[in-house]
Amino acid sequence: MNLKRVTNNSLKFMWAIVLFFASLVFSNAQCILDDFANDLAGSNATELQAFLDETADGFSSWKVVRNARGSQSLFKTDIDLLKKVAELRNDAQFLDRIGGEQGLQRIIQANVRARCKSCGSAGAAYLKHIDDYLDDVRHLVDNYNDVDGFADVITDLKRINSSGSPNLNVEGAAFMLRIIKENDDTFLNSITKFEGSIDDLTNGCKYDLQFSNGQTISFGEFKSYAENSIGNFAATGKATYQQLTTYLSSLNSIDELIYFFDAAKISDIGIIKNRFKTVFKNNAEDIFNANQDLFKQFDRLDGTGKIDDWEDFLELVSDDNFVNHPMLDFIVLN
Amino acid sequence: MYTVRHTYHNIDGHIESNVGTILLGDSGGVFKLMNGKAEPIAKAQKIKKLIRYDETSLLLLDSLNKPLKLNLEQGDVEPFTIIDDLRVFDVKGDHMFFYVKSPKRYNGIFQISTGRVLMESEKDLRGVIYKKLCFSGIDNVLASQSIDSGERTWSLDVSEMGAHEAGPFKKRKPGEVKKILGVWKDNLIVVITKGLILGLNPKIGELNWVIGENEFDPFVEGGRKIPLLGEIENWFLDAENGKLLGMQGRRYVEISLEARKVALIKDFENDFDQKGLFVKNAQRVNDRILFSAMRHELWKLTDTVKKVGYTQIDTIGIFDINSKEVIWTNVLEDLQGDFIKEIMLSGEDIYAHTNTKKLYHFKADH
Repeated sequence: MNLKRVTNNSLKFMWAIVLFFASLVFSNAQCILDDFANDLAGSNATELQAFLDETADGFSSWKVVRNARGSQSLFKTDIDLLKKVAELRNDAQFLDRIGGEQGLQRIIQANVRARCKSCGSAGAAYLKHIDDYLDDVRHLVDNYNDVDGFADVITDLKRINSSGSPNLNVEGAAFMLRIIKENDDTFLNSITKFEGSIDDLTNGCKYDLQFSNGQTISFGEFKSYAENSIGNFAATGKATYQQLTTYLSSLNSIDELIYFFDAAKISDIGIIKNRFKTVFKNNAEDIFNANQDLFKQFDRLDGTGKIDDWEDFLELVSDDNFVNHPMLDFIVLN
Repeated sequence: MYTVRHTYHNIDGHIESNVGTILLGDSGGVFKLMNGKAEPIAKAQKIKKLIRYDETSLLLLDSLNKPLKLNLEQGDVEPFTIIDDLRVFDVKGDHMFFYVKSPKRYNGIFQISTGRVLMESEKDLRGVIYKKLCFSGIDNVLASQSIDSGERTWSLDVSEMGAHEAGPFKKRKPGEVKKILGVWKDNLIVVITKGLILGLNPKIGELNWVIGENEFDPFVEGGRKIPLLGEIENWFLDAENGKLLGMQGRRYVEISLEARKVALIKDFENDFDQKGLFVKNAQRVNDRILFSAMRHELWKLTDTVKKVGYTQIDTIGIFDINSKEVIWTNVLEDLQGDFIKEIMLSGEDIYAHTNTKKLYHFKADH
């Protein structure tokens, strides 16, 4: 008797739960349909209708963007983005490598400050438009899916801060993706490892990579500093300084290192090289001793031979023209 | 074949001497290794480097290369003041290469056995001495100077021959002398940039031959051509057998000096038994090459090759020149992001020194 009453109560409770969630699903579905109807009546209605006419299951692409950026977002009526999403949704191998449609949704969601081409000027001007960014993601996925650390890059491209604040690691990784895609000559078939390094929450520099031509192994370090923050780079005792000296200490030749700075954030390489000059000058003995063999390959300022000790090194790096010296050719603005 | 017997911490340097292995602690203590224990023998402040001077003494150099002399038998440390403001660049055999900065900078060669300065020069003296000639690479020029007169006897500008062409992220750079290896059958053997090896008449500087030009791999990953030799830092002259031995990256290379061409290339990366080694530094001791390396493991799956990036420099090994095989490797598993910076093979002992001042001492198993 008691058992029967308990069973009846349990069934009622379960039905209540099912009905509750069903109502949520239906109300969410209703919300989505309402949003879709609004967009079809909105300012971009003609273009959106044309996209839907041309694209098989165009609604699903619209839904991916809507779920990624929200019901109020202009992204879901940006035709370039919708076309890109439709293209990527049709690439089963690509979707498989990024964690399916939900993975694509999170990648669009996580690059919080990226703009869309029809969305006006809000967002970060140094980031690519979201559809072009997805092109960079695809280039990475198509060409580097078997490289060590690839999965970590994808995880970071999907990382969303719980507070909803911009994820600077995504922006650092986006910078790396852009450089890789623009420089196939250097990187295609050469990258051997992606490695998350210093998690710099201020400047969003997270990734570095290792590439090889079979003879040497080189390191690419990606830094996205703006002019007003470059003074923070490699401050004595800080993580970026330790990272720089560790890199320098492991090289046989300065050609094995490239520090990429984001040309979309800082336009004058002289400012960056001046910062390096200051860092080298302020820490001359420490930096020289990190790898004497490396710095002894360079000529002294007086032109009579090679650097012998840290005094020679200090004299060289203190020179007004040091910013044009080959020692700093490892700094690239791109 | 070898196993780690001891690990020492806070070590700035180490060197072999007639009385055994000498360690330099980072607080200035100099120690002699005795049965696995570091026994203090002397103390001196701000010493950064040890150099062998003669049978019974070492030079202790500070960070400006100013020397103190340590008598290994007495343990005495005294100023080394044969010249005011002396700074020591290196000691090779009976010759000490030095420089002086004040009142005006000059360079010199001091003969240890006779206690006299053989020559002085405004330009660097850094290279190889052969029949009263000193060969040096200064800026973009290979030069010969007479030890007797101090005059330059000949020079060869390599700035065009060894120039690096501009490439992605790289500017064009003039050629430079990388290493002067020595003399073989009246040929001065010199390595310059772009991986070129020159053979010159040591007396007059005439260029006899060049190895490395126009030698490219026909098949390279990604369809790109790379030089057959590349820029190998670790070249060794085997004058007795007329060979050059090179070891760097994934390759061991032998060049026949008689035939003036590559005689052998061994590729470690494609040889799974050789653990995908990528050699960074190497030194030759008799018929063996001790090396430090990164590793690049390739995991062959059913339809793809899984690429795994290179590790830090965490491996040391021995390559046998006769069998052309790596006969021993050891991975230092506990480096935790540190890497091997220097290696040394001495009798039955091997030393691996890390960037964080840790020294691993291996001993041969019997």
